[in-house]
Amino acid sequence: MNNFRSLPSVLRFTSLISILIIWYLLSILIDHRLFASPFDVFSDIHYHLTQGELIKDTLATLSRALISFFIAMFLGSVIGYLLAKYKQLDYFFDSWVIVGLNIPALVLVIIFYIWLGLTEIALISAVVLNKMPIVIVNIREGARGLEKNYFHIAKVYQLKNFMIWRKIILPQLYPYLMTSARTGLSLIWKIVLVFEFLGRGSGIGFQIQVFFQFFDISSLLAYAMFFMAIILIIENFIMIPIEKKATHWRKND
Amino acid sequence: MIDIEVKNLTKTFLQPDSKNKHKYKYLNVLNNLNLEIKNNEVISLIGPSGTGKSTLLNILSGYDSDYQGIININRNIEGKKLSFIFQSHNLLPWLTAVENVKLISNSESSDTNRPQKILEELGLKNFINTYPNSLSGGMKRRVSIARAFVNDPNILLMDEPFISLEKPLANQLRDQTISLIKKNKVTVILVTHDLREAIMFSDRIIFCNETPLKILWEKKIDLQGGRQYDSSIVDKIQKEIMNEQPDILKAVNTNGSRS
Repeated sequence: MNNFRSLPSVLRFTSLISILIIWYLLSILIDHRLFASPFDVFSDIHYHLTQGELIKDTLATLSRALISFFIAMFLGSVIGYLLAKYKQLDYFFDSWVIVGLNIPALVLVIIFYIWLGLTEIALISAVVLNKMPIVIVNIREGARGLEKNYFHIAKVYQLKNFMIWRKIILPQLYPYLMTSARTGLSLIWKIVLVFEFLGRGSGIGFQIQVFFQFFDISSLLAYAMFFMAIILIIENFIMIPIEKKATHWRKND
Repeated sequence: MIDIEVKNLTKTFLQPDSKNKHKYKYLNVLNNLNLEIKNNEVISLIGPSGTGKSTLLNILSGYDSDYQGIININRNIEGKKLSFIFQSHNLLPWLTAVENVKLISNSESSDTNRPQKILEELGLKNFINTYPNSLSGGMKRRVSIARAFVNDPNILLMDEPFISLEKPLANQLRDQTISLIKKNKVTVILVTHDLREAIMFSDRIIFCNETPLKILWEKKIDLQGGRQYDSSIVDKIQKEIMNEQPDILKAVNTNGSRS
């Protein structure tokens, strides 16, 4: 039984190791400075951590991603809930949401960089506007499906608004909030890198642009891998535990 | 003393026309309905589906406020409350049994263990911290009964609370509910299709049919003891009703023993 339980972890670990082995073998076969080996990349991670600006750049990108994430989640959730609750608002703003969903991220950031200059506000505004429609659609869907019978209980027993939100509305919206949060974080950090590449003087995206100019593949991969590791840590140690806690009652379904 | 007073109650729904789905028409479900229920009286409303019985309960419970007429309910006086036992258990699946009961329990109450005690009283001692998806159908109903009584209500509305349960389980829950009603001295309106159930619970049965809801006949029930579903006294009263009003059961479309 225990063997079966540990099987997924073993397979995941084996899969990661196999990627590293294939990468290493290819780097020996190709033997070119533009195809860095895993050892070169790990050594560059160590170099940039100890002597470079990897930590500073990571914090810059992470803070941009998190600020944009929280603003997009908050505004998207509020607007999504209001659209589900008030049909007239939904009819009016539905086409706005569709436009928001389909407008390319690149177009948004260029417009904001032109309007507001190469500033933090321009970057964060563009990321928020890019992410928000997805949150709106998710939360609107969740809020439309809220179970009416539970509101009957709230009305009969005269529950206070705070209790209705805490015990009746939010638990029903958790799956939609979590889906938005998880897909949102993975989308946002990638967009932030592109936007930093285009118009900022700090952050992982900016450094990637510098490494691109010098064809420094090893440092480029070092920065990318380090930041991916940070995102995986956030996903595994923050997002997944929150999701498990919010939906623990479903385990016996 | 009157606990519930309904004066000239009228309720209208807008619904699609059966002949043309693009058109809507008004359906009068309740039309100038008058009803009085005394303190500690238990009445049953018995009649076919779609006559407005559940609508009446929704209005009395405060869930539906879109109506014309006057409703006077002796509610929230001296800490007393109104409770509702729904057709389905309506438990929140993300809360345990005790959390579901605590959700509506009186936070000012001195007895903080009241939710646990009432669940234990209903035979759920070992399932207090269990989530609804791990409880059987009967256990879920018990939790919903516990929730209805945890606040010591003075008025209880029940909308076919034992429907679609197997007979032995339904009888057990009926007995437990009657015992709680008597112990707590509650004024009750029970909506049911089951004549025997109506007899065992009630001081008065109101037979109704048609839309808008029309009261056809009322029968006072004087049941001193033997408030059990299969008791001979319930049998006797059922026969009496059939003899007194042979056409009434056809009119209200009930056969007297649905469970």
